[in-house]
Amino acid sequence: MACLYPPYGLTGKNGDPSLEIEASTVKELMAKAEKMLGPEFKTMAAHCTLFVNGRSISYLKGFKTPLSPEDVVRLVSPSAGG
Amino acid sequence: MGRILDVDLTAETVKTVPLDADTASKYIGGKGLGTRIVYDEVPAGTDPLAPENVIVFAAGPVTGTLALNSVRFNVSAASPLTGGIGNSSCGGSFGMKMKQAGFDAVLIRGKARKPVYLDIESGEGSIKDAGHLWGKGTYETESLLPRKAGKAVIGPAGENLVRFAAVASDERVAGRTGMGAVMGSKNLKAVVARGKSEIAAAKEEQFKEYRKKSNSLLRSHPMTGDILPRFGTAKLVRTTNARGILPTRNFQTGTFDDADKISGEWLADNLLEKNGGCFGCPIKCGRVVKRNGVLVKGPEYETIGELGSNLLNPDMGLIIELNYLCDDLGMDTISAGGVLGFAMELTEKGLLKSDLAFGKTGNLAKALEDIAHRRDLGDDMAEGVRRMSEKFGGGDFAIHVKGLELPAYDPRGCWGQGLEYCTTGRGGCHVNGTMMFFEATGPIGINPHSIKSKPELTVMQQNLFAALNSLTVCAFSSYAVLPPLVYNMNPHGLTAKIIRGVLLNSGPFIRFSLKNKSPLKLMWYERFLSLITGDNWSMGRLDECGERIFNLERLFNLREGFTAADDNLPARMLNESIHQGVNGGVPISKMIGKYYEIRGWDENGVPTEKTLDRFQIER
Repeated sequence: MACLYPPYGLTGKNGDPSLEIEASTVKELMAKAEKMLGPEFKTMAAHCTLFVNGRSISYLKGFKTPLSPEDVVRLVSPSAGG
Repeated sequence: MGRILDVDLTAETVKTVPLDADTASKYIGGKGLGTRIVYDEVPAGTDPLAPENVIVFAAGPVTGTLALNSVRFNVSAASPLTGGIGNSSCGGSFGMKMKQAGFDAVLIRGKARKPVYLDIESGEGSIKDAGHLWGKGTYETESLLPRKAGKAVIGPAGENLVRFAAVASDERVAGRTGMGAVMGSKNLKAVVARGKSEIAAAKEEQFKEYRKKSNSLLRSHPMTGDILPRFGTAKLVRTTNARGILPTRNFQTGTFDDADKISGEWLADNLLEKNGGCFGCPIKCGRVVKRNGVLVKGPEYETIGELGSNLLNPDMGLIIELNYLCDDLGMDTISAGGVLGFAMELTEKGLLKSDLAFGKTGNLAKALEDIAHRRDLGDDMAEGVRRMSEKFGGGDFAIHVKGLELPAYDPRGCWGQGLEYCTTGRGGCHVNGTMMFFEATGPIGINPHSIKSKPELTVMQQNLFAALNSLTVCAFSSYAVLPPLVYNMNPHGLTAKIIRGVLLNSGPFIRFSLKNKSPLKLMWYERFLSLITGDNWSMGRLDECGERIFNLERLFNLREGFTAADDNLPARMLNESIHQGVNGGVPISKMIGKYYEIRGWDENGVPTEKTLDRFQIER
C-alpha cells in the first residue's frame, strides 16, 4: 500500500500520521483519501503540490502516475524563505 | 552627498570621507558599496585575518526608511572561510542607527593593540576599551553597550577566529563567510552607533504614500501576510522534505523521517509564543519561543535543516537551544551544522576518531562550545569543511562550494540552485538568487531536473539579488512581487502549467532583456529608489548595477586565485542520485558554458574586457 502524507493539520497536530492506502494510481489514491478524510482534504489538496518519492507529479504522469506499494506520496502548499 | 567613517585601528585614527556620487550611483550601497571598498582597499593576496584586510559595514539608500522591511545592513571583507569576497546581510537595527549617526558606511582597517569597540555618535567616531566585554557572549555584550544604540557585536567564536564566526545585532545575525572572525582578528569586539540624523526621502510625501501602499500589500499577500507570519521560514521543512532536498545525514539523502517534528507547522502548534522579527517590518516572520522560561529567537529554516535533519536530530527543543548557543557564541548556524555533519560522516567512515555520530544529540551543545573556543576537535571544525577535508580526507562528501558550507537545499532537486551555488561570489549561498524558490519551494515549481533556461534565469536572479542586497532590503519582499493569484492557483492546473511553460522557455527573452536594459519600473524597488534618491531608476538600471556588482565580486575572487574549477559542486552532488528516475547528480558541466557566455565571461570564467567596459568596472 502506498503511503500518503496529507497536508499538515488535517489528521492532527504533533506531526501528521501518514495513511496507508491501496491504490494503483495517484488519482485513485486521492479519491480514496478524500473518502477517508472528507471534503476538507479536497479543498486543501487543491492548493498543494503532489509529490511521489520527492518528484512532483507534474513531471511524472500527472494524476495517472502509477503507484507501487513502497511509494510515498506527500502533499505540501507553497512556502518561501532564505 | 553621503559620508563614510574611515577607522584605522592600528594608527588609532578616525576620519570622515565623502561617499562620492558616482560610486553610490554605480554600486548603490550595502553589498555593492562594501564590495567596491574591499576590492579597492585590500591588497591582492592579503590573509583575510591580517590587519591589511578591511571590514565594511554598509547601509543602503533604502535602509532605515522603513520601506519594504529595510532595516538591514551589510558586512563585507575578504572572507577567512573562503579566501574570496565575503559578505553577509543582517536585519538588526545597526544599519538604521548608523545612518542616524550620520554615516552610510563604516570602514575599519588595521588591528587594535588590545580589545576595543568603536563608538559612533552623531557624526563622530571614537575607539574605546572593550576589555570588560572580551570573552562574553553576544547577548551579554549587547546588554552592556548603550541601550538605545544600534550594535554589531561578536562572541567568543569571533574572538577565537572561528572561520565562520558571525556578527550579531539585536538577535539578528550576519552569519555567512566569517565576518565575525575578521572583527576578532582586529581585536574589535563591537561597533555601536546612535544619533539623530533624519533619514528622509527626496520625494518624502510621495514616498510615504507609496510605502503605506506597499506595506498594505505585504500584509495582505498570501505569502508575506499569511504563510510567513504564521509559520516562519521553518515552513520550508515539509516542502523540502517532500521534494527530497532536505539535507539529511550530511546530504546523504534528502528525506528525513521525523521532518514533521521539526517543521514550522509543528513549531507554531507547540512552541511558538509570538511573532518577532526586524524593526519596522510588516511581515514579522521571526519566531519567538521560550528557552528556560525566557523568550528568545526561534530557529529559521536553514538552522533547522543544518542542526536538525542533517545531523538526524529530531528534537525541536534542542534545535532551539543550539540556535541560541550559536547566536550567543557568534557562529553561523549553517556552517556549524555543515561542519558537524561532515565530522559525523568522517567518523562514520573511519576517517576521524570522535564521539560525534548521526542521531547522537547529547553532545552537540558541547561540540559547538568546543568549536567556538577551539578546544580539541573543535579547533579543526572551526576551520570549516574545506580545510577539514584537506586534513582528514572525505573530499567527495565535503559539502561546500568555494569553502562556504551549503545551505539547506540539496541542489540535486533544484538544478538551477546548483548553478547558483557554483557561480555566486561568496560560494555556496542561497540568497544571491534564490533559484530554489522557482524550482522547489515557491508556488510555481518549474522542472527542477531540467537545464532549460536555467543559466538565463540564474543570471537574472543573481543580478536582481546583488542589487537588493545593495539597497538594502529583505529578500522576502520579492516573494510578494508575484501576484496572489499565483499562490492560490492549483499547482497541477492549467494556469500553473502555462506559467511553468513560459518560465522554462524564457531563456531567449531573458537574454534580450539582459542586453537591452528595460527603462520601465516593473517592481517596487525601482519606484522606491526613485522616490528616495530623487533620481530615475528603472528595472534596467537596477539590473545593470546588480550585474556590475556581481562582476566585481568575480574579479575579486579571480584576483585571489579562484578559477573556473572552483565553479563546481561537491562530488556527491555531481555523481550520486537521490531521486528515483533521475540518473546522476546536477549536470553543472552542461550549464556552466552557457552561463559564462550569458555573463560575458570567457571559457575560463573571466569577464572579458568588453564586459568590464560595458559595466564601467574599474580594476
